[in-house]
Amino acid sequence: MAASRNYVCVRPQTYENEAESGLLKSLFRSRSGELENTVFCVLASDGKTKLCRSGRSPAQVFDGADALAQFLDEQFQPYHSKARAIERLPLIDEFALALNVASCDGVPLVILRAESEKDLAAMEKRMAELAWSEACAGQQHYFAFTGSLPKPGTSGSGFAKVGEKPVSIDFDCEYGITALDPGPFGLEPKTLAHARADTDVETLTRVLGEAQLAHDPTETSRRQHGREARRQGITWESELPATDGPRGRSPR
Amino acid sequence: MSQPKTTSPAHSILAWGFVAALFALAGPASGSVIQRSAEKPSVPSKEVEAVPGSQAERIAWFGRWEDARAEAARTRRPILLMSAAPQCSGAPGMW
Repeated sequence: MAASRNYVCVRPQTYENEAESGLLKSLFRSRSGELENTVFCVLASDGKTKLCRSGRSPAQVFDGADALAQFLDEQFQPYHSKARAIERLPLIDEFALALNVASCDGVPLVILRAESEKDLAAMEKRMAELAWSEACAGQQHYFAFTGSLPKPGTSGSGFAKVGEKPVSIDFDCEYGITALDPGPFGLEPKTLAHARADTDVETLTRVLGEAQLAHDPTETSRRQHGREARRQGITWESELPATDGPRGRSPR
Repeated sequence: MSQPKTTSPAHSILAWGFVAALFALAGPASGSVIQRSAEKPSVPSKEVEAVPGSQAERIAWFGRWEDARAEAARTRRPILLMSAAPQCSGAPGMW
């Protein structure tokens, strides 16, 4: 964990963005020639130079977790004296996708809603101060927007369906900062805590702490989760065809 | 995919440390030049027992490549990239 803190860590969602999928394909292509579900690589700060061989996972590249940690420590040495603090808030692009990702990780989703781009930028800056603190790093995901939430299937990323019908997520988001429990499939958000847009960082810390305490995701096995999804007819329609699907074909 | 038998993949990622979680996302080792260890990464029992909602250490992931690329350039830090699809056999809510 400590080794990763020196890096800008990025987890693109594999089949949700054409440009990102192109990047992932350029980094790693398996024998099938198709984009794999997972891609792993360590890159220099230019975002282009590979510092290690790429693969589907770290386990394809490194002989164990200790070897990866050692590699990360060694590769960071030349950067050590020049590195600056990470300050940008790590956002996820779309509401439905952000709920899904938060659900996958079992963490709250924090939503920032403002009336103007200027106000939103100010909120993001305050939230970012907190997001990279030791106590909060990685403990929630973030989504920010002005205006209204887009309808599922209209915003250029994946969405959930029940049967063939896109799921319309019923959530009336207030202005300000709202921490949500995304629900087991990312479809039933419930408010855990809320703070006004102009809340200071200290109060925000307390509010997010309350959200963490109130958040208690249901623990379930992969089999149980899949069974319940099938029972309810819930599927995820990724923006791009999933070429590494369970049966090797697109869900579309 | 290597997973503890008693917890879901998503909650393994909650409970395991970063490195173990990344290794838990391991796919088949075909084409691997470096031999993988036959054993799963060891997991301290107190981490396994960490429950969702607790403050287990987690990676703070950027969700957008362009944000990460820009921040890496600005901060002069290298990039750790691990992509994943937020669906399990077509169902949302689990990697």
